[in-house]
Amino acid sequence: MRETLLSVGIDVGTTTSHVVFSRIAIDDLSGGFTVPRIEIVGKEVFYYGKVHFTPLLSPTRIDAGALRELVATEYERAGIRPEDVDTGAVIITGETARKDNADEVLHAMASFAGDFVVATAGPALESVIAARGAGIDELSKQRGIRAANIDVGGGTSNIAVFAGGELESASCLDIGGRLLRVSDRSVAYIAEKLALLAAAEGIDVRVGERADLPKLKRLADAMVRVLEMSVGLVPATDSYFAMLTEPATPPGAIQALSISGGVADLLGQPLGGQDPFPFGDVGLLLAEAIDRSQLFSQVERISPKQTIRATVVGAGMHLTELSGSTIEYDPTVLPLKNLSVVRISEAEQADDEALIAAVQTKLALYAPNVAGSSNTPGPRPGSSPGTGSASMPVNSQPVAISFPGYSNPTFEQVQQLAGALIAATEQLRADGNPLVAVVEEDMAKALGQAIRASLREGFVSIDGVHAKDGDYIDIGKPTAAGVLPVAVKTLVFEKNGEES
Amino acid sequence: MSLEQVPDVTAVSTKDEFHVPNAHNEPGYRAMKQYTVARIGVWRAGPRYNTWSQLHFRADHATAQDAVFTDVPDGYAEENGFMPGQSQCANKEVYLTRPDLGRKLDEESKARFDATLTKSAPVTVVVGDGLSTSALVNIPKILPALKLGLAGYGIELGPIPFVKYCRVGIMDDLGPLIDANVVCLLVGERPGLATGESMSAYMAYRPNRERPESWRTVVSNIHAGGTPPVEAGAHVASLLKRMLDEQLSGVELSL
Repeated sequence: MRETLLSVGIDVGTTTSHVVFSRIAIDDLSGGFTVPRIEIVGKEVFYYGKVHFTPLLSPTRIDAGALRELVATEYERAGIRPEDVDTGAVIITGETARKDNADEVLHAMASFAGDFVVATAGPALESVIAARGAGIDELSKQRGIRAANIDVGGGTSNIAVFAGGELESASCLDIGGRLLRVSDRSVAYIAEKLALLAAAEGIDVRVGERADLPKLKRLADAMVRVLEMSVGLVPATDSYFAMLTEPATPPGAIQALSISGGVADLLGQPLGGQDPFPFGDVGLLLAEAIDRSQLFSQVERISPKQTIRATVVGAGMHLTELSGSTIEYDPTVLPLKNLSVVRISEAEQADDEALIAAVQTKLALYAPNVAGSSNTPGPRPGSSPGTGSASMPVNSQPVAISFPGYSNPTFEQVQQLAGALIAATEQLRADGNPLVAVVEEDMAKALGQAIRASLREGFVSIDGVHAKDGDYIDIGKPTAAGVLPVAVKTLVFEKNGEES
Repeated sequence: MSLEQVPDVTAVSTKDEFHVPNAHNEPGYRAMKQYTVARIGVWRAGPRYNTWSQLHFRADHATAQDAVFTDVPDGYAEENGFMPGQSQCANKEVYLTRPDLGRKLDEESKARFDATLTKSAPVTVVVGDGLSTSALVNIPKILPALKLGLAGYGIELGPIPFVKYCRVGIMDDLGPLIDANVVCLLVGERPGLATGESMSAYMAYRPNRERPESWRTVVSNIHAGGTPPVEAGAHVASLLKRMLDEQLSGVELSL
């Protein structure tokens, strides 16, 4: 029964871009005497693309043509055609995500890369993906500890904290190796927010002046102090909050830490007499400051599974999970990409009126967002692949309704839920969208059959997946074993955002 | 001490019981324990269990004994709308000591089933006590889900027979009697120390005495803490449909 999914990961970062191809092996672990238990049993990267510089047309525009060329070349070298790809993700990260044409490039890349390759962006998601690529989620699960990864790139540093394998928080800082650039021994560029940090720390750095090593070392130390705050090692000051790309609060004490990203490859190299600016930036100084800092003197240092490629490997290998094994769906509506998640609480799921009201309220909330902010990974309205409805009205965005379900439901509870979901999605379905139910507890097949009894088609009922308000979910085409690949993309973190 | 004051040792699941003093990482240990009901982290007094753990073990063993030795109450079949029947075992003692007799219907049941059950039905569902009367608690959840799933495939169920003192092999006796196509037996499993309520669904395409054991497909471990009975019913419905379509069951049916 064992089968393999081919997965691609594409990361377009501030400084560099990468492509990796991996194989995800799935198998039925049930042994044949119980219900099937189809799980991911192995993941392996079999092709690492080159580390390319991200092609830019101008400081504000990505060179879409050159990027596409670069990706196409990697497909060719790996001997992979886009139609061979089963799953995967394209992610635009760091400063590149803020370019004027980032959204456009992202979706063009995703549709080139394969049928179920999803477009992702957002600093928090980037942090999570990099931490998974570094292997910190696994480590925290295996050892039952709270562990963090900081992915220090050219433009941003992405922090994710996992406790016992569960994601606890994610944040992003405007701290990176290429935010101050040096050419001919003088300062050629300094990013605006870094200049503010320098000023706040009383370090006077100006473009055009001679690159003063002791001064830049002090600046690197200031940057690393903010990193220390980001994982709760020292109390956060105004500098920390100023350098965040999105509001966040520092996590509680961590027990282990890994550093990934391009700067991670420069760790452990004493400056000595060598050129302190081998890449024309402060990457090496930042690495050296990390080595000297409290980051590793206070907590256990973990070698990440990936350094500069943590994000691309995370996107290519660790974004896809599998639905539960006993599920029910109409295969003609798949794949579904970028569904906004509407979360129903435990109290709401048991009460028809409350469930219907909650779905309606949240649909109304999402409707104005359809136009899309720069942070939204979703495609433009009407262009959603998979729904197959070109005439889809702008106000009706496809959504997935997520709820906890029951660990041992009665038949009546299943019937009630099916009825309420059908009633709550009447308008949505009239607009040509499928009913998508995403349950945590193992009950999706019973629920799906109950839905099928009324609807016959146009529905998906899966379990074993947790998604919350603000998340986006992608659901792929069925594997040979009949399970569905699922990617839950978490973009927003709020301390008290989750219902009980 | 009055009875109300005696704490119920089984009130806390073994998953949540934790007696290790000064554990290095208690939250991690507790999280790991959620994967199993095995008795780990119960600590000890010298080479022995603690009193609490020992009592919990004894209580779980008693639950298993009750599941096996309790008779299905008279009138159970009628109250649940099943057609009553019995194997050739006259009582529990015969049932436990003569597995061969538990695989055959007694003459009265044969006559009743022959007269009342649907002949040549695509699917016949049978309910049996098996080695756990307690497992019948799953029936009100699994059966309607199974019926709804089958209805979704256009398969209607006829009357459902109930067999007291039932062994799995009873399906080989019943199948030819009513010319059944696919037979599905919902039966109590031999209980262990984790639960006394575990049920299995045994399924076979045109079962009869000549078929080997490998001709049967089974979904086991159906109970509140295993595969939820409602979900199991939905899954079993899809398996029965496949058996009908492919005219196969057991290891021949690639799952």
